Amino acid sequence: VIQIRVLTEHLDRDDLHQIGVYEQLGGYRALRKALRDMEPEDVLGQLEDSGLRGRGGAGFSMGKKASFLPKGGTMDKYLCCNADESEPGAFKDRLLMQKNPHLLIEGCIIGSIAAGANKGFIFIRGEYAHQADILDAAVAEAYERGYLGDHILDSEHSFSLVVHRGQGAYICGEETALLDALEGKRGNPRLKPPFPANQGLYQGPTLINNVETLCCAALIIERGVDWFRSMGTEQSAGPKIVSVSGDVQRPGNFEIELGITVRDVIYGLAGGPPQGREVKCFFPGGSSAPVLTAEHLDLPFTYEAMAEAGSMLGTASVIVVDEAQPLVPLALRLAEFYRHESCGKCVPCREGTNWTVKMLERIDDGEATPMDLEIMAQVQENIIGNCLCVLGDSMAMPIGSMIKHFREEFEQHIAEARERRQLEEAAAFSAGELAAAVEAGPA
Amino acid sequence: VMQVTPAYLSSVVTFYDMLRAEPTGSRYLYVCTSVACHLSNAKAVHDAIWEEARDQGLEDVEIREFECLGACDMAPMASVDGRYVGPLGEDDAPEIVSALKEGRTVLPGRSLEDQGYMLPWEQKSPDASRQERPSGSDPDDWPLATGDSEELDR
Repeated sequence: VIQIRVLTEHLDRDDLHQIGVYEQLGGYRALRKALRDMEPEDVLGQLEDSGLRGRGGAGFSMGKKASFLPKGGTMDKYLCCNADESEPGAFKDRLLMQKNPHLLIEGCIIGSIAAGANKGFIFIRGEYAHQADILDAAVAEAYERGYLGDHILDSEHSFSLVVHRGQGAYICGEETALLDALEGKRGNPRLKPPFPANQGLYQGPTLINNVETLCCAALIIERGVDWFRSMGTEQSAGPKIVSVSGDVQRPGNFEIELGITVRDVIYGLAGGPPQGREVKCFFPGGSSAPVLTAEHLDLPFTYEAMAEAGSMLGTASVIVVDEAQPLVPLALRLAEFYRHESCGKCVPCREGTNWTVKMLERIDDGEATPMDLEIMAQVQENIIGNCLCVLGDSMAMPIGSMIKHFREEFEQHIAEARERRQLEEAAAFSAGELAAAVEAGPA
Repeated sequence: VMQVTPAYLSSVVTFYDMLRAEPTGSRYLYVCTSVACHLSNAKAVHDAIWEEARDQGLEDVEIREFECLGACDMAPMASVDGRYVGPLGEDDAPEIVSALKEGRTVLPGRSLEDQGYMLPWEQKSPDASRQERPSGSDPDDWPLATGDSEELDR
């Protein structure tokens, strides 16, 4: 299987974060081109024509999103780079920011030209302390060279950029929650509309894009729309970094053209599950994506094929679960994550995640009956689409899909746990056995 | 001073995982136990570190399970004051705890930040032999790159 080196080009160099090295390798050429040879409308037009889709999960056209910002006007416009990468399974942005911070900065400036924004923020999660330090240093270098600040390269365009560290909340990766967090509040999602393109940060029109999206934007301006479209498929154009993790022999980031099969990604690039085991199921796009099973392995890895199969490409973070993994503890861990990270604003999400955790715990404790599966599936259905943001859906979809695809295993787990519990209860009546159990300690 | 109510402050503090209302320790060790790390037995690693810390009497370090830290390729892993180390095993616990106790660097050479850091399976793969030497000593990359950037600095 062929890996490509577009976004990951030169990443094996340890000095790429220095502005001199980046420039020597052709860096900031796109910026010069955009400012000197192109009108802002052309920049925006190229981004739209390129078919670049948001790499942060939703997969919405980046150019279209930028075009929603009103032109002109007196209010400050903002560009926010979403570097809050908190999705379990995703670690592509970490790689890009750590190794090639200037590509992101250049992408931010390109984005600001397209959107007409003059102020920008990179919202990076606080856990990425090392990466944030690297970005801070890179931003300072870019200011020194005149790539940031007033009248960039003696043009009309001014743009200031600040690296902002989050403080650890998954929901801040949701774009409106990110804006609240930037304003110094709790990161609660906002009601949409108004969309951030009209009323975003400090009520000003705001464009929010993922790290990888902005990096792609810089490359599109530098190398052109046709070059970008020559990679991937019609609806999933361009290079994409996939993060493969879980039960595989070589987890890591791999850059591919979208459209190769899932099997190539899991077996070809990541080496497949260890010890010759088979794939039981996999999350194609981070832990929020509904799981797919072994029968889906030969589908092309694209936005459209994953959607057709009932899942989503999301952040293209493949988490592989092999046949030796029991699903109930995995589902429980997943549900606990979303319960922990739910902001609590909408009832279906706050209560639904809590209930799901409790029901899964009941299964493990042997208190559940097969009927609980129906209730659990129903709870998931009642979460989906009923909240301000998709955090609740992000739990409901994978849990719902697990129950759908692996109902037998859940039923078996319920039966076994009940049997175990009955044995334990029976044993509790006999004092001798109880003492022995205490001596043996917890199993 | 800032014209906000205590309730507002509490709502913000309790919302974010990295903010604390009470003193916990001047250093932290977050063990990721999210999905990918869960699949790699992270809970056992956390428990081993926790027990070891108790046995060695480690103080002033906050040890806790944490949600996905975005390093699933090095699962199971932990963040020591922002320094990512991994992949970890239960047998790493004594070394991690004693390093923290004595103020040494935790697991030198096994952090994402370390020069030439590589995941174990990258070292084993055949094409990695080229990259195994310390990255500072590559004659092709360095002299040229340093020379040029100096020139640009002037």
